[in-house]
Amino acid sequence: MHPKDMHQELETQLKNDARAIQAQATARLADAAFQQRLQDSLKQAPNHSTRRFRLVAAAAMVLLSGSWVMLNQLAPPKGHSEPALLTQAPTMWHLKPNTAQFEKTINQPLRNEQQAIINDLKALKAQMLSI
Amino acid sequence: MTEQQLISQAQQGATHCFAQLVASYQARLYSYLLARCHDSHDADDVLQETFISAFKYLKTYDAQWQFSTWLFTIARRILSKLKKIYHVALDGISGEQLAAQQDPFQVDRNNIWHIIKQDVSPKAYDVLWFFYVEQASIKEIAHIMNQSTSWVKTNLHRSKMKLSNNTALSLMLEAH
Repeated sequence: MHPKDMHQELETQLKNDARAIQAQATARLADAAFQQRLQDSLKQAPNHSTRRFRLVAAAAMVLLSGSWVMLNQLAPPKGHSEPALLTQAPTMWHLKPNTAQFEKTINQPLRNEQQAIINDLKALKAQMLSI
Repeated sequence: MTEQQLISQAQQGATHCFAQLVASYQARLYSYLLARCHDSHDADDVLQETFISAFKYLKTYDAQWQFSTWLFTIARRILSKLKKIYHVALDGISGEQLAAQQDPFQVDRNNIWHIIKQDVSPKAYDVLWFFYVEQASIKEIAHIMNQSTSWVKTNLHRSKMKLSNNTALSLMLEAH
């Protein structure tokens, strides 16, 4: 057989036999169970962009709420004097160091407040992620 | 709705549009995988993984290429990963055990693609499939294969030459 004819024959045969495989593939794809499995796996797969958007939105919310809390702490509202704990502090400097008292009156309330803020932020983050 | 509209809707998260894209391309992808994989179960897995990856990373699809080109690129990548796992998993399994596995969707041994699979490298096989069956351009094939256009042209020419010299193939073609 002439090489040119051979190539022509080969090309025809390649296309014909591919059609046989395509028919097999179509028959297999007509199987409802296979289709269902494919659809289920697609439903389970999260859309990358949506998930990324949610994460960015949640991070932005956490940052915003964090800044809001910090700003409110730094700038006391008008009409208020300094927090009671701060007014007590200078008098305490003149006293003999009493670590137990200092812990109870200054550190512990601050720690409690800090923990409350952290809990609020965690709850907010969890809420945003579950949207 | 045009294909481009379906893609952009799917990129916005419309799953029903993506389902239409899956319906349009699954047979073409599956035919390629069925001929390329060891058995139909592997082909099922790769097909499923391909569509899951496509759905996940739909935002990264570049419209300068055909959607089928993008899907075949993903499928080839997953296939090569599977081959690596497969080679490890095959250690310890005898040829008889493998032959004993009955696969109703195995490609017929007299099918030319089955014969070619034994004769040329997987890459050359892919080039032939994309060129003759998918009728993809050299540029598109180069993109799928992550090679240059000259590489594709050379590979195609060499494969044709090699197949012309295959006695079994010549006899089969003459018989037809």
